[in-house]
Amino acid sequence: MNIIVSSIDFILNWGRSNSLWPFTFATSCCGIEMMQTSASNFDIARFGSEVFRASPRQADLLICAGTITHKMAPALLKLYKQMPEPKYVIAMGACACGGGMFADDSYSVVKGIDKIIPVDIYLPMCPPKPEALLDAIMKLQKNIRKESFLDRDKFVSAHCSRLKEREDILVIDNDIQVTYWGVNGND
Amino acid sequence: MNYLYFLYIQFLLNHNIPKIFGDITFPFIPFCIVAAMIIFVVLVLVLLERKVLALFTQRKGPNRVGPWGMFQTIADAIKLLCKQNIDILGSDKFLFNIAPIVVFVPVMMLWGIIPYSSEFVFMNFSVSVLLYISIAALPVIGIILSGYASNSKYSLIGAMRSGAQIISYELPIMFVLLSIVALSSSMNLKDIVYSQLGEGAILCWHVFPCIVGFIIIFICMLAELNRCPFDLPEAESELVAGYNTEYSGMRFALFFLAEYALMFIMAAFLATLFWGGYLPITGKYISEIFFSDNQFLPVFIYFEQFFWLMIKTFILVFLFMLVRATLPRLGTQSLMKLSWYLLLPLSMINFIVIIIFKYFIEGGVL
Amino acid sequence: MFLNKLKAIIEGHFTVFKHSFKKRITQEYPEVKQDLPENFRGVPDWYAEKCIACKICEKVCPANAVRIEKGVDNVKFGLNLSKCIICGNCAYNCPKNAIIMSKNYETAVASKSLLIIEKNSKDNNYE
Repeated sequence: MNIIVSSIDFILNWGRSNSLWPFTFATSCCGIEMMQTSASNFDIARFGSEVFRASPRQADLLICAGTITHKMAPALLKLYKQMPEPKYVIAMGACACGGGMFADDSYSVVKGIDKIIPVDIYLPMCPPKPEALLDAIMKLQKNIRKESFLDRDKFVSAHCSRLKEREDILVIDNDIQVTYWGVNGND
Repeated sequence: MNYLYFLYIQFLLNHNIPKIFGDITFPFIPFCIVAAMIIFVVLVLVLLERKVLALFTQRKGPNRVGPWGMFQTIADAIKLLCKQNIDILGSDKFLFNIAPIVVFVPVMMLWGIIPYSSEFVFMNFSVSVLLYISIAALPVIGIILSGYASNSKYSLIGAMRSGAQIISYELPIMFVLLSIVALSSSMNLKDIVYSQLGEGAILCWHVFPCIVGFIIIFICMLAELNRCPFDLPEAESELVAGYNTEYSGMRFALFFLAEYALMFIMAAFLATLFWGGYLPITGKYISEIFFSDNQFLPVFIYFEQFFWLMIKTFILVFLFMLVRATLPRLGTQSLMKLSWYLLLPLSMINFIVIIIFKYFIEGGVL
Repeated sequence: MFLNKLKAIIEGHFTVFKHSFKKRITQEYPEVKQDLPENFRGVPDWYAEKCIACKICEKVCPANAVRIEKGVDNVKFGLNLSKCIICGNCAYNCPKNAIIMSKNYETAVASKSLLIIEKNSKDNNYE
């Protein structure tokens, strides 16, 4: 039984890790570095992920490149939910990781996208070099090769244990409420 | 396929298998060949396109998965097979599921029409050209179904654009095909290939009297394939991903498969009509020099003809990719203008010129 | 007018085709790394033996990412990478050059707790 599971895991993880199709989602200056990564000098196509899909239904990897404001939070959450499993998230840049320079006294910025969606890889710096993004993708590939298809649900539930859904509210966290028109409460 | 049938029955009789078994199984062999070829050719084509686009932009392309990135598309296929299929809220479930199949099946039928060599013709009709053009217009029904069933405005607009595009680009194709039929005085693809056989080798190809028609049909094929610069139905800057916005996993992979299979078969069709099909570029078969004493010389020649057709097809596919790498996307207005104001009148004039050419130089129209 | 457009389109195709014979400029990133410029700023590095705990870096940091704590016989240094914007103010204003911007930029981690770098002058493995 273990042999069957591990061999299925090997094939699935090999396929998934080698064809991470990113989703075109760039909200600010880190997006420029993401574009640079797919350009000639640091060719993201070498890892098989130059297929930037515009539709979330066909993407596997959400590279959240840039600041997420309270206005953008419901859109990010909706797009994440529209992606089919298996889906992975890279938080690119300090703003996406934990608010960056807006972390202390901004009234309009979500302090880290991990308050809204589960994150697989954090990539700080302001902004990271294109090589750093390639490094993050390689680390994500390493993580995918280690995981088992039986444990994927556990990862999501462990990261979204506090998430609930109501009709008017998309996410209720400890200190953040994402509604359809923005974010309620002081986070 | 008479010679191959003869060889197959003889092979079975040598192993003491009755003839009736061969009669039943023989029709299934072409089907299996086509099905295997589609999968193989699409996997190669997708990788080739990514590599060639990388070549034009001085990149390296996929080179991490397997040797020279050869297993890249296999990894993509495994991932797409195992991806979650999302059922869309408010969609028409039956039409939504059946649309990719409606797109894919006509494309698969087209693969049987092309004469791969003088023996490998799986469906040999006297009106192959007519049949081709009527089947090649069918996938748009699947595209419109997918747009209608998805319950998404982007899908619907993309599907409508695709329908409008194919209607307006079908007419110039018809006129160019008419001129080819007039040149070879037959609608059978095999006869069209034979009419390009002659002393001059390359000079007898239809592309030389009909060069304007070749350029017109090349542009129209690009439009019918929904490829750059005519990829308005999938324009990601306006419509998220066009008609396949709501499709994920295997259903999306079927659209993908159909698009590339259609691209390959259209290139093969163009090569058959204009570049002499399976006839050799050199004018003489190479295997005639090397295997002149062998009793299986006809079999060698069949495979050599297949090889020549593949070379011509891949050159045309390379041209498709070159156009994609060069030109930006057209606007909706200029797309329609290009067809109705320029290509359609030009193809009509081309048709008349070809008829006159045929009448005065080769004597008689039919 | 029309002929000019046609000429431009054909020229464009030739230009693109010519590029396929040029040298590929892609760098194989993990094996071959680009030379960094002299004043490139990576993650700030802290050297405990030079630090005098004057807390200037804490005051000049625009994002409040640096934290210095003075104990009885030791100094603690904390850096929150999820706030740090790599502006280099702390290194520029440090009177003893105890903070130096390193050339390290490969900072991707799998867990958020690893984003906070904490060093203590008592530990020997702060390098």
